[in-house]
Amino acid sequence: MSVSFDADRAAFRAAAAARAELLGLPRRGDEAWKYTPTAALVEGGFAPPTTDTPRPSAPERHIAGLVADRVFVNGASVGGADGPAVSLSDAPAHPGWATLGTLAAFDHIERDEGGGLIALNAARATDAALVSVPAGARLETPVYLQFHTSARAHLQVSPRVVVTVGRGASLTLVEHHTGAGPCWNNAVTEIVLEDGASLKLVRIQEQDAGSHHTGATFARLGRDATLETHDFACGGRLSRSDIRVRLAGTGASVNLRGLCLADGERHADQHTVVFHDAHHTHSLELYKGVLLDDARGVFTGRILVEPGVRGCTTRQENPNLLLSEAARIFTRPQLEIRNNDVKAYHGATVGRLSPEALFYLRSRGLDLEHARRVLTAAFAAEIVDAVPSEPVREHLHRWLEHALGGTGAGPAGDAKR
Amino acid sequence: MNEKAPPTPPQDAALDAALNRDYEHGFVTQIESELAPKGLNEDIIRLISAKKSEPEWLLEWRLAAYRRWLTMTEPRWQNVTYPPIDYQDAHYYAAPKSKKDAPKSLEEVDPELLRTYEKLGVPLHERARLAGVAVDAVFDSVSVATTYRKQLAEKGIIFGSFSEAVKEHPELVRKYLGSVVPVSDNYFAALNSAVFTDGSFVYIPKGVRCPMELSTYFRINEKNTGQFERTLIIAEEGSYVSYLEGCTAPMRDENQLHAAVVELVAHDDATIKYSTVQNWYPGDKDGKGGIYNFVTKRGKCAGRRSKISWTQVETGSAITWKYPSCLLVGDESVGEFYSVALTNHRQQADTGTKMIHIGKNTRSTIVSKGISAGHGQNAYRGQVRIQASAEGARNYSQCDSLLIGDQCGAHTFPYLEVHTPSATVEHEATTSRIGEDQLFYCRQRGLSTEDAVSMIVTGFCKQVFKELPMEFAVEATKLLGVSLEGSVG
Repeated sequence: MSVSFDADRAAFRAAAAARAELLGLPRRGDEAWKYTPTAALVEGGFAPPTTDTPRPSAPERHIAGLVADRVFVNGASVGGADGPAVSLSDAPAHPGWATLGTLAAFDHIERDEGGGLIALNAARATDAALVSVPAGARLETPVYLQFHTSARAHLQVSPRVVVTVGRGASLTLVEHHTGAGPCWNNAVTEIVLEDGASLKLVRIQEQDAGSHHTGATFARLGRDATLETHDFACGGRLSRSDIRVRLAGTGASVNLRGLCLADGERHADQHTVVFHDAHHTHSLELYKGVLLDDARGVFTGRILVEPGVRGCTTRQENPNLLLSEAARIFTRPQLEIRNNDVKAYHGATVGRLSPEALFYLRSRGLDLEHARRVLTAAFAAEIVDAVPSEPVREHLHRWLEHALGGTGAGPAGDAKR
Repeated sequence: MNEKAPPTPPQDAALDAALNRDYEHGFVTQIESELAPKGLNEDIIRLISAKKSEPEWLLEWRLAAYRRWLTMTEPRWQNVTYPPIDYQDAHYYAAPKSKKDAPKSLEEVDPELLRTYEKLGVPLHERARLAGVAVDAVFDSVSVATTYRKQLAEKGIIFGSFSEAVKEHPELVRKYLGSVVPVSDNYFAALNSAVFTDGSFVYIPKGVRCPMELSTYFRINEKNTGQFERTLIIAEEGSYVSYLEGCTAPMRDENQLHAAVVELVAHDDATIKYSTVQNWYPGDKDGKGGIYNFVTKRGKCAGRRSKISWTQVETGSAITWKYPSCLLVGDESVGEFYSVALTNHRQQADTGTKMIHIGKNTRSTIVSKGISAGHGQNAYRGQVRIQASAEGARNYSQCDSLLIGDQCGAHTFPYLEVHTPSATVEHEATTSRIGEDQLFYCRQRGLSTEDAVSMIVTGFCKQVFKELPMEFAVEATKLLGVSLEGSVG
């Protein structure tokens, strides 16, 4: 049932452990981690699960209306079944095995890019979710993977996902991270899209405010492949999401979307890097941030166009709402263009709700608090509404309502407001 | 890469010639000069201080800076590459021989020097009067001539060399030196604090509007001398001053380090406008030689409603590394940064600004235009930081890049850090090349490709050029023209 790294992986894991030891965690001085302190991860005394670690059979929270294809609790697979076209398999011949570790190659990623975290995942991941869609297959129903961590002790789990989508195939994948108690989820996802393949990835990080999350997603796109990512940083005390996309085939395109809504004392960092390695590749990016209470929000979007690569277009936007005196936002939209046949745009804004819009709503009889909620929800809804699955959209809308409702409960149900 | 790149359109021979034009200001003036031995140590600093008959406190200040510098490491985070600099392999003091019997008037100035300025087009002597510009010309490290001093003195304005200011107005220098750029600020600022030789000092008294543009031409002349200028401008309450800084340097094979520090202080309701046209020798087309321009420029809007405006046109230097910044301390103070940075051949530029909003309702505007051609690498790096105390602060940043050729690079690294919800921060950036359609349109209207490119580039930079004083706007347009004509084939 559960997928384990078997004996011939022992060397891989030993090398990863050595690398993790060598690199350590990113530091404040590392450019990519400038605004995100990792002290909480170092000092938390987190340890990987052991055989004694209790494994509740199923998490309480899940997305209503979606059947989980695979559920992982505290790092181990506890439920789900292989679908007809999607196999979540432990067979060594599974195509996912060949891919594992090729994109998130821990020995090639430096410390300042979070290499230590990638290596740590490789060293400690026990059960990996392998998702593979054969060439030409078009899956209508989303594949839903849930990773739940529930800990009374300081637990560190390493979820690992490998996705391969064959030529001309298409898939919608929902990666859902939930967690309660003092834990640290350090996830790595690798995605290979063959020529003409298409993937819609919805990544929802909905851990409670006492847990930490670091997640890195690596994707490589073949010719005319398309990737859409929807990255939701809904919870966690310290949360960091890295998405690195290589547009390796001519005509490949990526559409990155993300929402960070942080309250309490949360620190949410979303980091994206897009490499335009081939001609006529296109990237589109829209990340929004809403910061409440004492929360910190960080966004970095790097776009790199290599010399000699022609006909690329890129557009990136990062609007942010700062809704409390003590909240902070740090944003870095970066363009690194090494060639002239490019059209690139980026924009970032930070501000509060428009006084005119608030006034308008109040003139219509809404009280100030209500008017604020309406406008904030509308701001965030642009990201939620683009999610490609109805049940997921509804789930996110419920979360949004909850998060902005001022009911005394945060997105994860128990966050301090 | 999967695909073969389409062939690059062939460039006109005439355009190539224009692109590869030699550096116009590449000549060396033969003047005997007095050199300190190579190397950097406390003795050299004592020597510099002694040569300039400086007071004890300034020597101590230099030595403290030097000791601090020894503990610091050279920054590596900037987006430029260069071979390691041997700080011991340079002269830290060079003065024209004629310094001992200092010229009392222009007639006494070494005619060779005057001819140099003439070649550069410095409006000194009669031309200075006609142009209405007072010039404090820095030839290597010692000021040789200052004009219009008397006229300025009548209004109580102090405008002269830094060394004179140390002698004549030590209290002012002591009060403000290092108050905006502390010695420990960064590696190159510390180095400058230890070994600076001269520079300009400007003091505008309360309520005085400086009647003319103040201008300094810097020029590195002596072989293998680092140039460490120190400029300090103080604008008292309600005053106004516009300061122009322009540079051209003769051709050199060895890299030269230029690490200047500029400090501006604006008190209540004062305005300082600081304009730069920087045209140091950029190295030849293979990247040999050229100036390393590592400059720290910072202005402090100390008073309410004060304003500091930086305008720069950077066309020279092998490597440009500078961030003219504003500390917006006073409530309702205003910071501005207008920049055109051009890199051609193997030039590299990492330039931008920092706007630190501290006071309430402070405002800042950033307009940065980067142009890259050949193998040039051009980076905008800018930080906008709105402190929690800066209620109602506003920032608008725009940085556009124009790429000419498929080997050049344009990079944008903005850092927006907002600590208060009442702030409004907007940042926008675009990167593109000169459109084929734009060129086609111009050409079918009868313009040559060269003229069309020149026109489009001038249009691209217009927003910045209109901020320059008249004299500079002309020079800047000319500089861009020389560097860029016909870069698109």
